[in-house]
Amino acid sequence: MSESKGQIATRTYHSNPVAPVPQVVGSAVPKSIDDVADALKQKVGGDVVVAVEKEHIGTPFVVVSSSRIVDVLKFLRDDERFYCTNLNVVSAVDYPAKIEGVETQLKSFDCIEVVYVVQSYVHKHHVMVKVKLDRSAPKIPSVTGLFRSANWYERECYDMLGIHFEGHPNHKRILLPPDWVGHPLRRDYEFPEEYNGMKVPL
Amino acid sequence: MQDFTSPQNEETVGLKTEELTINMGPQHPSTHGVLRVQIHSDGEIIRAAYPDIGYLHRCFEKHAESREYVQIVPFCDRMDYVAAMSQELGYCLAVEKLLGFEAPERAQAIRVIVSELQRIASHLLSVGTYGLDMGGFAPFINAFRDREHVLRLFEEICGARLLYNYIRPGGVSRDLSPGVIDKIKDFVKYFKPCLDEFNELLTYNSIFVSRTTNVGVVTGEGAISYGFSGPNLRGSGIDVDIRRDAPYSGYNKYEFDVCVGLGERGIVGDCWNRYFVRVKEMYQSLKIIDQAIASLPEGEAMGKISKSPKPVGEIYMETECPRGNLGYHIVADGTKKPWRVKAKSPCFIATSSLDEMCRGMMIADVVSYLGSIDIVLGEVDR
Repeated sequence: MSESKGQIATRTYHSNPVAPVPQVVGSAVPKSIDDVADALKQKVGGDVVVAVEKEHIGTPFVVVSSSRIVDVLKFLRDDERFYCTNLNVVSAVDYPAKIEGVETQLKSFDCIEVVYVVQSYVHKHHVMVKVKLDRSAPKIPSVTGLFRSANWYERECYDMLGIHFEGHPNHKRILLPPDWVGHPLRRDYEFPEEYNGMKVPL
Repeated sequence: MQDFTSPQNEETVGLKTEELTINMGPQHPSTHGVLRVQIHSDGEIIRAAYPDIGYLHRCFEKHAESREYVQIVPFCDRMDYVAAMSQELGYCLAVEKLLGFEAPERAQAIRVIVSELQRIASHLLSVGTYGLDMGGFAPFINAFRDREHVLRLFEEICGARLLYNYIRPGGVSRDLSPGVIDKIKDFVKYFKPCLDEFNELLTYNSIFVSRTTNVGVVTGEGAISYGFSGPNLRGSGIDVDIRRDAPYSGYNKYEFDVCVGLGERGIVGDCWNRYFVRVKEMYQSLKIIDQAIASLPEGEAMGKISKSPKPVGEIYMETECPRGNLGYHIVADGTKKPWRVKAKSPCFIATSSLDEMCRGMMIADVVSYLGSIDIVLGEVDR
């Protein structure tokens, strides 16, 4: 069986999403990061939101307490106003203690930030959620139970920055060899002089 | 008659069976790069498949900490070396957004033209090698013949065939010459019949159809949970496209359809539907290029922007690349160098689905599934 020539190009391809779409009145969909913070305070807990940042250029975000991250992302995923079913990325940033004399306009110091971006395909919005961790022993509950994509994102974060995700099913290095020493994206990382007897050119 | 199925049969007593471990790769022709998959199989049935990545890891993110913003653009090329224009575009748009700068209209239109040409080149490579994996050599030759024309156009536009460093923060590094514009018009005219021909050659070929339909089915919910994006997600029937939903670089000016897997053969979400979404998207890319060339505005191709910009802020931004949504998370601290550049790679997350998807499959179908999610190992490992 073959289709006739040119038929492919003229057809239109719009279709409905397969996943069930919750019906939400337009005004109830959150418009700003303040709405997100208010909803989190009401539904998840009053102490969950640590800070809301919206002054800087770029993506506004909400900082939540690290022990409640699973609850927060579960609420954002399941609540019909947010419906953020897709975890776009788990990124992490290392901020060392404040150094005098260096001109930098960073806002965070002496912590490791884990950044979650979740997105809704239905409401066409995305939310950035941040968590601040202690630099000496960064630990956070894993969200692999909520999103299957979190598995490899978290492994990469562990590999690059040494963050421990508690409850992760396969907590191993992913990009670097298993016997690598150190976590390269830490700001105090020292480049190795040799690896397995081979000299590392710098 | 002997009953061979009964375990008590005297000929089978004492026979031991065990799982066989097969290493597929890292130098396997169908892994499209240096990917190793450790397969535990029971006969032909796969019990587990563990992907092992990192062979091409260069830690672009660490490099980016010690380079200026403009110097990072070539690193972005080297992530996905068969779709370098799209990778550059995402990075440059994120940096421009941090600077509060918008590229001149002509530069935006040129960016759309080159990134759609890049989409065609990338999809041709993908569907051509997919045909090759499934045993058809002719579609591969056809696809590479046409891809060569796109690469020659790029060579004339910016001097390089694969790694361009063409799109920069502020615009594009040089303007399109009138000669190139005519050549792009000629290419669009030439390529449409070629695409029809390719389509007839491979898409409904009965061997190809039986190798790819109903194999590796990812449901819509599964695709979202795995974080699939781009043609992989649309192949599962989810109608999402950043170019339409959150337009960047003037995509809202152009009219095009978002192609979704409809299950013309097989069921929605199988390998054939993911493949066919790519073929359909090439028609849409031609449509966009046509419109962009026809309405190409006059003006500067490079905006007035500092050569070493010092943005402040933090941004996460995604663009629609041929392989899915490529995102950049940039933390800028007001110095010449970024504090952190993180690239979210669509191929990385598509590879993570390999284990769960391959369980219960035949070994030959792994090749079918790997080809249909279209991964490039340079981007998986970064």
